[in-house]
Amino acid sequence: MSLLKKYKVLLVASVVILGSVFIGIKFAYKSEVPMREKKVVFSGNISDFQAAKISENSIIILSAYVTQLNKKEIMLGKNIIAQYLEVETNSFNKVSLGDKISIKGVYLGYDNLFEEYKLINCILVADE
Amino acid sequence: MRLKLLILLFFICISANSQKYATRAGKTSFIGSEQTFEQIKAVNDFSSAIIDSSNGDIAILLFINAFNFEIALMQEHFNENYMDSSKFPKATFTGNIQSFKINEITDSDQEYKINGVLTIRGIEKEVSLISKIRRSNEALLLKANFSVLTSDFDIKIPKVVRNKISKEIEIKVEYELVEKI
Repeated sequence: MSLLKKYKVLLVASVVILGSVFIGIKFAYKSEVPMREKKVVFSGNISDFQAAKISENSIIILSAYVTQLNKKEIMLGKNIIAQYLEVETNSFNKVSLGDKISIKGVYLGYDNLFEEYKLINCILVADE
Repeated sequence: MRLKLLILLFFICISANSQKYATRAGKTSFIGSEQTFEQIKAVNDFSSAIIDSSNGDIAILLFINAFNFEIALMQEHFNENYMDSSKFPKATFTGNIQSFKINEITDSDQEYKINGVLTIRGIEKEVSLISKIRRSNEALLLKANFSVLTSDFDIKIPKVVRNKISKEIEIKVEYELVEKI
């Protein structure tokens, strides 16, 4: 094999290896799909949500009245507690007790200790 | 497991004269690897905990899917491949803080032994750990560090990543519990 051909093979191999490493790193560090773009399994009010028996870790949209405002958390109705994303703090700061809002988030499951349904990574969405 | 938790809750609820301290935003974190290129660590700041101050009974519940990783792919693997969080969405701990007396809690850390049952992936394991408890204004601050073996909870680690993931997972809890009315 001539020297030029050897260099060509080496160059192609280097490009392939570097490309694979780049793709691998990009795949490993890909950011999570934003909540706004995630597919919704359920959308409705609290009574429909409780009747629907949604499975844990599903993405849902809930429309309900705000009954409690805590740091990073908001309570809807009697027993829905939703933790919102840090980046959504400004939006949630505009919410007041008694407001009817719609939130989109991950339904974690039923908390037997507090007898509440828990949601995380919530964002405010426009009324359906 | 669920029955045990319900029974403990029942007794916590019927003790009408007792005070309960609770949080639904407790911080539970873990480190699951050696100091590698990307450390496997995650935080769950949505853990629920209740302490019955009359007898030191404690119950903790957290959702596996609420553990937040810096790398999204790591979180996906943790939930789907290791913890099977769709099948086992919760981890619980029910136990008792030994020699707990609410009126002896001061604003400096005091060590208390906690004995109880930790349930992960539906598997129960008796654990004993040392916690530090102190008062901060009206709240109780509870901190504890302990470790568990992945093998105790049937968490299977593929050969290819076996040298990156510790067999022993370090767990850290930091809860600020306020009196529940």
